[in-house]
Amino acid sequence: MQTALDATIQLLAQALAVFVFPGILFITFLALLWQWIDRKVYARLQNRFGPLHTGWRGILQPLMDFVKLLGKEDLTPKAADRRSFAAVPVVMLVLSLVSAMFLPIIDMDPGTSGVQGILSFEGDLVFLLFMSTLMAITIVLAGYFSSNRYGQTGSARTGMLLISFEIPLVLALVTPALLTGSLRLSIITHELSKLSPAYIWLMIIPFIIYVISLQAELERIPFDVSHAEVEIVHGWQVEFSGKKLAMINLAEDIMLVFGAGMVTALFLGGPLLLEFIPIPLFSVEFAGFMATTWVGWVYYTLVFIFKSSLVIIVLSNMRTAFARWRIDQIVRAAWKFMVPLAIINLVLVQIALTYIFPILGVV
Amino acid sequence: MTSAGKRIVIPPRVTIPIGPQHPALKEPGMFKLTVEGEHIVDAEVNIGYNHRSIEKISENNTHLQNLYLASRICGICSATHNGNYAQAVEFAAEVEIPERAKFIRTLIWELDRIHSHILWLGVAFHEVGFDTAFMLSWRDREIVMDMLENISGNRIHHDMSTIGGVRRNISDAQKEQMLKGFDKLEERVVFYRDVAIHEKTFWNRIDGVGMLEPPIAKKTSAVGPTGRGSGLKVDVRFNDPVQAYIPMIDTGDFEMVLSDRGDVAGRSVVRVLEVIEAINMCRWLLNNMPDGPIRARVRPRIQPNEVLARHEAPRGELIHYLITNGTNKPDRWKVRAPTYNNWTSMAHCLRGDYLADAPIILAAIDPCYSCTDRVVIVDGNGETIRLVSLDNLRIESNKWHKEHPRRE
Repeated sequence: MQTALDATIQLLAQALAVFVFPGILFITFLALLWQWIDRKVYARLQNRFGPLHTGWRGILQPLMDFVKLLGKEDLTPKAADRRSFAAVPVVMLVLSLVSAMFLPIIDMDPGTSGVQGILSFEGDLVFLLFMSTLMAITIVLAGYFSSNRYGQTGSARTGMLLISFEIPLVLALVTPALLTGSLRLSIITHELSKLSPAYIWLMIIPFIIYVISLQAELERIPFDVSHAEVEIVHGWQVEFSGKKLAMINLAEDIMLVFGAGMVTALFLGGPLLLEFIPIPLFSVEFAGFMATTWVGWVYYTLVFIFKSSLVIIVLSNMRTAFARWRIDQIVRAAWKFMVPLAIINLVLVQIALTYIFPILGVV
Repeated sequence: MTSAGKRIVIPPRVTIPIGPQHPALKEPGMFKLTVEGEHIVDAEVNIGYNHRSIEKISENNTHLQNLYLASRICGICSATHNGNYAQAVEFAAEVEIPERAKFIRTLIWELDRIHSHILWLGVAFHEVGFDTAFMLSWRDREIVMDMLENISGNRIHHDMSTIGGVRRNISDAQKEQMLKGFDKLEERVVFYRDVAIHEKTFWNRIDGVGMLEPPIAKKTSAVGPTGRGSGLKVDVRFNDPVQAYIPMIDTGDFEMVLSDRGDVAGRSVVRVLEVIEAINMCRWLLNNMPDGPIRARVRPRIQPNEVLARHEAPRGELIHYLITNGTNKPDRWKVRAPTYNNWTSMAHCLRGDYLADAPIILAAIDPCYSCTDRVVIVDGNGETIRLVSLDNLRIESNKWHKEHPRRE
């Protein structure tokens, strides 16, 4: 009897984690919040106001847009592959949500060292890269399913963008994995926080490469060739409307949460902030208090939100400062500059780890 | 086995329509682009979606009414149409207008050029996805819009010229205000010039794109910044000056802005430098404006005459051809807008470029559809040309819809 009760409570707690916090509901909340921050920063840098009327300084505007799109007419083109066309938004939403569940926002498994996400297993970094590639392939298929010329052009461009920027993206993630000797997101975050500050120098180039590639993965200016409203009218999205478009927009925002969260977890030290102060009060007692009590849930969440929003502001600035590149320029830049830089960086990291750090005496 | 007939072309040729309704186009027009992957192999230009039969309407209006109709041809270059029509009527009546009126009319034309070119610059930034510069340049365009509102009373349709002179005078206080505004505007325009030239992502999108070689530009009779961007010396202000351009050009302080690049970058540079030149022209006009009346009396009935008035609009040479018949209404009024000339080179510019470059190439001639589409062609079969009244059109369309019921 007692075991059955325990199992039920366990199940309820897990359901709460998956559906409410830090699962689907919380991630959706973050997605809408990030969209608001992105829009607001983008607008202010252009000397505009951005969303203003819905809620405090327009903070509810992304939610209103989502709700309004849900109520709009849902059209399917005659020439489109009906089932696949309807499946695309659902698949995208599911893929992005599953990816976001790996983010170490709060510690879901206090027994293991490090901050674990809802889902966490050895080798999940590879799985996450696979998921993001799957997302890109879904986008390519979405354009072809809609049987629209603009959509097909947009899909072809997405494909070219993908083969250009997936490689530097993957190579940039090798460095943190190499430094910690693990492919598990939570372990990487945990181990990186224990390394000496000298290792920051090795993380700068991969960080820059990752942020640029992330901008390309999310198809934002200057890499928004597959949307390019003045050329191909939002590319692969052109035939989607109503509920489908709402789900696609939400999926893109969740991918933004996921991308910014990955930067936070792998390069900015995850949900730890005060623990890095080299005083025992912070690095031992405070860290232990946060890791074992419920206060940690609030603290880790706030730190995660703070660091991720910094990343969002960096991404918004990139969006403001550039014109849209042409697809051939993007492919050339990726293969002539980004990929060689990523490979050289790997060589440098290896040399530093094998020869330079032992000489300097860095542990 | 590799006969030409069996060769499979990869990627396949696709026809992508840009227009009649498209986010890149601010007005309706149709461009059929045949693309192979991303390369444009053929382009077809169809215009005529914005026909409003203004020339026909004008035949029932008096000359004074037509002035206001003329400025409604186009929202951006309204002062040029309005001023050029007034000029044409004055040529036909063979009257000389006061010096001060000439200066004010020229000033309005140059202000119009400044606002039109800054607007174009913003559109060009938008077409290559540089929305920040688009927003900022349109913010600074408000300086010149406020000036126009200050002296004419309207932001867009100034209607400043009237037959025999101008409607309003410019006071000394307004002059000081404008001179102050020009300093700020020049600072901003110099900044945008540097942005356009030194911002790599923007420059890479316009450098070497949409080549229009000088011989082809000459053959297709390109006018305005499109021609000058290809090194053609076509500028009515210098070639055939009218109004206050005559004393202004005689000072020798002003030069025609030319570029021998021939691509979109050349056209952009010509336009931006022309804004700076136009600001200097406006300063000269304000500082050397003579005193005197602003309007001469012209009798409403214009003697029978046939005149051609030329003027350099922001987009190029604008021609108003006017036949008067002794009444207060025109016998025939024909407007040839500069965009019409520049269309012919469009297909050549588009061919061989990337699909992604199509919007900026289209935008580079600064097309103004509403200026151009005034040809009365109603029947599509090419056999007959007839005018159809609105009621008949409605009856015919109802009949057509009855015969062709809506598809499921």
